[in-house]
Amino acid sequence: MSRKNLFCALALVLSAAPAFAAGYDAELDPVPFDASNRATVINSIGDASATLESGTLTVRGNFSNFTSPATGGSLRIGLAKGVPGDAIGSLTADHNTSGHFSGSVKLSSDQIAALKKQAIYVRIDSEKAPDGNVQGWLEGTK
Amino acid sequence: MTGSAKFLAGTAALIALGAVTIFAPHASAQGQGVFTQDQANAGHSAYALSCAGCHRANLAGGGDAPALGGNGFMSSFGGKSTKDLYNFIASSMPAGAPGSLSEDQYTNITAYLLWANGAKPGTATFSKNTDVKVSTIANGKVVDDAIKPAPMGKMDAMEARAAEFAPPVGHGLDVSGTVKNYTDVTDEMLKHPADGEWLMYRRNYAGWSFSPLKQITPKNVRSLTLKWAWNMNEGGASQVTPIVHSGVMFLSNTSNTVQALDARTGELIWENRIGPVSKIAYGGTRSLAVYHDKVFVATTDAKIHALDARTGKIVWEHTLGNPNNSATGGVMVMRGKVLTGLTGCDNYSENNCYISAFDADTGAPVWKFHTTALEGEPGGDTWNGLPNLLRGGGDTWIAGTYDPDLNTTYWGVAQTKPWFRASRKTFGASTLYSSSTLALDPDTGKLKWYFQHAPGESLDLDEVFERVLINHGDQKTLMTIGKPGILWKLDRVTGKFLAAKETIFQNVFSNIDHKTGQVTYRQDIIDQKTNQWLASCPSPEGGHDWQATSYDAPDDLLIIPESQSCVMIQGHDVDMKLGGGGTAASQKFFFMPGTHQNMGRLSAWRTADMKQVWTWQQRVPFLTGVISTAGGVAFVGDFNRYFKAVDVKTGKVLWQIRLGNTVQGYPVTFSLDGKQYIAVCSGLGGGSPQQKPSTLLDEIHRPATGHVLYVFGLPD
Repeated sequence: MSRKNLFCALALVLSAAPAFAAGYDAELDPVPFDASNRATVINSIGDASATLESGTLTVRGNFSNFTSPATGGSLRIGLAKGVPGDAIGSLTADHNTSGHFSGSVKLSSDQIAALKKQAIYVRIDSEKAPDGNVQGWLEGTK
Repeated sequence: MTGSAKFLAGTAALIALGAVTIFAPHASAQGQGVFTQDQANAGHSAYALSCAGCHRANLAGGGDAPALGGNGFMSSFGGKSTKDLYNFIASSMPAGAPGSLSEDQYTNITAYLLWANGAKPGTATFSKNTDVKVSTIANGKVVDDAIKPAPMGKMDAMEARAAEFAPPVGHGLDVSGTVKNYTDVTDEMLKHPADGEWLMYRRNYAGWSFSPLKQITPKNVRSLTLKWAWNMNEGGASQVTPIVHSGVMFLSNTSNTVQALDARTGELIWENRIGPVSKIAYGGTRSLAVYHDKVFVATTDAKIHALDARTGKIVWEHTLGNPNNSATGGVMVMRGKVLTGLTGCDNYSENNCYISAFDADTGAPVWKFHTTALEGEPGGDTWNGLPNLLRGGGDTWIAGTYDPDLNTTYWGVAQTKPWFRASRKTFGASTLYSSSTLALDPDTGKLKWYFQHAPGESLDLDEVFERVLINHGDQKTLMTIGKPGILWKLDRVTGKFLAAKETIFQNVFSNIDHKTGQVTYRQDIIDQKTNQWLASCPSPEGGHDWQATSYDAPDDLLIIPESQSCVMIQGHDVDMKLGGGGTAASQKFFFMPGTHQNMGRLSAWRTADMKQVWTWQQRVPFLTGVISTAGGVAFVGDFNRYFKAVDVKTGKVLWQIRLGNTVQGYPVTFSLDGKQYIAVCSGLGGGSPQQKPSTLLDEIHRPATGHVLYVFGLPD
């Protein structure tokens, strides 16, 4: 194989880069609620997309219909999809009732394994809901 | 007043206000009450009228309603303020009608709950702004007077509540008449029901809910029209199965009323308001049974009655449990015996839950099988040494099925109560026969085998619902699906595990051994403590709940109504004494991840190879069982009032109509004079399947009443 052909082949392989940058997304729904916080969170919603590249998970997303301005967010890990857990990184969010959020978090190998098990989730907080307004578990993009 | 005097007066007023704000909690902690005894007394009566139906007069809780006395109350509210408590009650209660009471009633009820839990009354008037930490004034020691019947004029408050929901006429056989041309129902008729009849709960002994009628097809179902309708009793939970025989529809209503209607016209023939008006919220009577010349009904006060099918007169009756029990799961007749289970076994009682059988003709008791294995009996050593008094649960929420060839009846058993193993102190014990399939000899009640699907279940995810009997060649199988949404296949001769499939997302079991059927709980569920929040998908709504499946025999499809929601659930410490226990948990709800907030799912699974054939989801859950027909059409109704016909082979919605309220219960189909009819009820009331969508689906608004029977048919 000539150098030129080898270069072209390499370029072709590299162009299939998604193999190295896995994609994930999530729908964001209200956090668990009872009568005490229902009115605050019930109609809030959002979405998130994320890319894992070289062990760093970069997350972006949108939220809307908050009853108070967002204050920030976090990437979190639980025992399984649908199981809340601890924060493993911070996200920044527009200080508004609708807007965008983003952030990047370096993941450990255990956290990457948890991501693949859909045990990693995004939570966005607000002034009226400091312990979470919306949440959503990241799943591999289909 | 001079300027300086005004300043001083204003300052004094501010200081005084500040003093009130700063010192009111401290003053309360010193014993100066934040409510008056009059408020507590008024709240006692208001509680009896609006709350005790679910939370019970003794504050012990029941069903989905947590305890409001003792440890349960302090666990939930001890760390919160009286203002939080007021707001919680005023914004969410009564269940199904939040905000429907006056501010005075809510403040009085809050005062009552504080008083009942040891807070001292005083001279201050409680208001919605009273803001004191509950644990500084209440200690959780339930005051005896607070759980005595509340005074309400000459009437006990619970009686007054019952009177509020009373039907407009008195009890007893208030409409007399005679069914003409009634033919006695024989064993052979029950084994091989005539095509046009619906003689039992799930239509045949195998529990298929499948009709051989085929006049209504995918091609003509769009032309279905209403033939007649019938308003039913309001109040309670309406989840009924109309029974059709000899051209007569036998219909159970809430408050334990049974009616015989001309199935052609909807004309009332007789009506027996057996009563009582339901005091317990979960007052559904899910199915009647007919045999020989009698109609059988198990009632919400835990009694079983035999009525003369021709006249409605009571022939015999028996008490099953105690006043806190109920019997809402329906009845089945086999080999001349009436079988019924028992429900409402939440609170610690000397009357452990059981299935029992009675001679259909005479009412003579024949046998009793305890669904919570008792001390010294087989399985009795699986309760971590608890005495019989503390062996709660084991309810049977749907009547069993029957295999005449094997002479075996199959029943599902609900979970142990309290829900949390940490609350009930059974920890890793399996607590037989909770969440099990039982195979019983209907003649003796002797246990032939059992299979426990979820040993030591502890999140209100029981495996209690319908057992469907299906043959695969020579292999006789039993299929069932419970709240976790796992479809199980067992050998119904031996009880051997054959297969299990997860039909919707669940995160409760970290593993299912596909050789043995043994489940492994998520580690934090195993390590649980009281007052600790645990996540559960599905929620106690199920997965799959009492809305039963249908087995479409021609296509080997089990059509399954499912729900998709999750909870955070927290078990409480309970009073481990007579009357204590209860379900003892608080819940917070959330949508199931990945469902885009669609709570309803309808799926068809081929049972031979356990493969999903079709599935779709929608915003609202289904509140009826499914029926399928040889015409290739299945029917199901939903929370948002739609009654739908779907193509059995594809799941495609062929027709739908919007009814007056949530379509709830068990639809049936029958034929008369060569015409096929579909009957279905709208209804309200019930536990998690009503509670979860009511809370999660903010945009759905339903009428406060609307228990109605509708009968549809093709145009003449």
